[in-house]
Amino acid sequence: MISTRNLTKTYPEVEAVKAVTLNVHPGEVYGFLGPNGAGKSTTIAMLLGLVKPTSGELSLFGTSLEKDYFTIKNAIGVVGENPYFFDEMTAWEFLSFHADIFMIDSKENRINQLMERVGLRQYANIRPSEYSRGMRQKLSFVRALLHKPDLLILDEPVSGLDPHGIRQIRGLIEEQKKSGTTIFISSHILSEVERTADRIAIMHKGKLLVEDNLDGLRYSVDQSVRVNVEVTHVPDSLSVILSDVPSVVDHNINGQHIEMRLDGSSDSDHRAEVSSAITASGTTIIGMETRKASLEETFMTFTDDNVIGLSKAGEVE
Amino acid sequence: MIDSGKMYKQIQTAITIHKRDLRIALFSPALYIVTTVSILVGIVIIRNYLSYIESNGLYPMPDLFSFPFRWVIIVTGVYLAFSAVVAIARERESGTMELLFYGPVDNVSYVIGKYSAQFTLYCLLIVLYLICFLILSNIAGIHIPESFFMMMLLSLFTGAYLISVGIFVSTISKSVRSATLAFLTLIASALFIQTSQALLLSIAPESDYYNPVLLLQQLLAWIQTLLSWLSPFSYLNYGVDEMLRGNMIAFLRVIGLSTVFCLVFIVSSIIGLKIRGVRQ
Repeated sequence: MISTRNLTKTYPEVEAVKAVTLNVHPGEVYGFLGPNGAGKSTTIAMLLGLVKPTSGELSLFGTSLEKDYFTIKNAIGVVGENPYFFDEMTAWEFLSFHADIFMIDSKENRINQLMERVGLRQYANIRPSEYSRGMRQKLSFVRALLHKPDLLILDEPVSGLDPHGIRQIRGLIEEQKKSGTTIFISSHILSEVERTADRIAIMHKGKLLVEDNLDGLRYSVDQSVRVNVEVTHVPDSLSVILSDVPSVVDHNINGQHIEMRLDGSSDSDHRAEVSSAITASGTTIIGMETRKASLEETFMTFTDDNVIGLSKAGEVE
Repeated sequence: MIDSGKMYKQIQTAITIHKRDLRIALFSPALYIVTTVSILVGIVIIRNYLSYIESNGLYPMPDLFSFPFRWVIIVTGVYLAFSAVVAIARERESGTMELLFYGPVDNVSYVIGKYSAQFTLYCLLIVLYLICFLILSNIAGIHIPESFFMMMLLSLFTGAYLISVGIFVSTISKSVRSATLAFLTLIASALFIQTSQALLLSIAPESDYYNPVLLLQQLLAWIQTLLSWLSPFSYLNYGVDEMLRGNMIAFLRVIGLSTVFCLVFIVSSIIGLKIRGVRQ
């Protein structure tokens, strides 16, 4: 669906995007992550033909914008980071204009249906400048969905929204995912990407560090198993005992809670071993749960300059 | 080979942009202020002519409507060229140009759509002015000669050229401020050169050898000649003068050159937009 090879953008002062190679498959939700200034927006601008790459190859739907500009543009819906509107138009006029640009038949039905879906129908004759940030973002979504695109490119779609707004936008994204639309979502709200993305790419300082599914990302940065244990009390000897257990990589005791990372390199389950050690210290286990590293933890590992060496193993060529 | 499918889409997109821009322009109060001022200028000039005829019993010139009409279209042309200058730069500055380019809008359809909206507006105003001048001639009981209509025809071509210059300045400018500045500098430079040359010509050099005044006069004369080859206003004046003299070949040449320059500026605008990009 989207394919780039060594995509590079150099400005006089800075190399914004450095030889990015990525592949987005049809029907998937592709999370595109990176801290501010990582080069995400520049990459998206190149995908949309708004910025000309300095070098590298780029294809959308198996073709290029140079060859099939109108076919590609008719198949893409875009929600940009900043929702732009024409000051002189009401929301309905704005959508009607875009429907004309995309040559949509029976545009009235489509506009009304989408406006109804996002709860903006009654505000259709108001100018977007009078809308709240959340309403404007929803209107941007309606505009992007008007022509039923095959590929939806979302640049920070929930940025600046309140929890209600985020929930509504998430609902829209999930609906599109179910209908088989390919979604390319760039965001720094990691929990949102974690919920929806099938595969994730992480950019940092213009480079694409890694591209994989969430489990693959977790595995590439941290193979340990995280275990949280709650005990009745913490004996003085507990810390020493845990340090002597070979499968415990590290641990942290906070009140009655013990956070541990266990060796995950083999298939063995070390929980029984840990339970025995804790019980041997003279305390009683109230609860135990294992959890995987969150996307946020994985992301931080990849983008933290101090441990950047860690990510080199997973670096995409 | 011409891709007819692509061309059809470009035309459709240009029409949609054209309709939007025309609608926005028609709802702009500035348009009505400029139109009213233009018509008032025309009326004042004609009234002065009529007073002259009344007191002297003589016609000040064979075609009473030609001079006031020239003023009216110059004011209108400058206004429309200026609004063309602002139109694209403002869209780039506010981000709405980027929004348009998310969809099936390319450099060609965008520039053509913008240009055609301004030109349609200009044509509508010319028709409005024609109606006003016909009413004035009816009230004053003075016949409008054929040359007036020829001048009106010529003004369509010089106006088209002027608007294309405005569009070009807009496509290569970063912001409304820089576009406005560039356009005003262009007009101010032309006026400055014209005034300076007139001023220098009034100074009689003391000696023919190595006189800086003579050199400056010569230099400004060259620039003036160059400007007369480029300025839409010069084309209008030259075309009208030649037409009144009965030199129809020169008149047609002015129409042809205005069309050529107009096309050159439209193509340059498309290329300029491609190079400059849609982002600020």
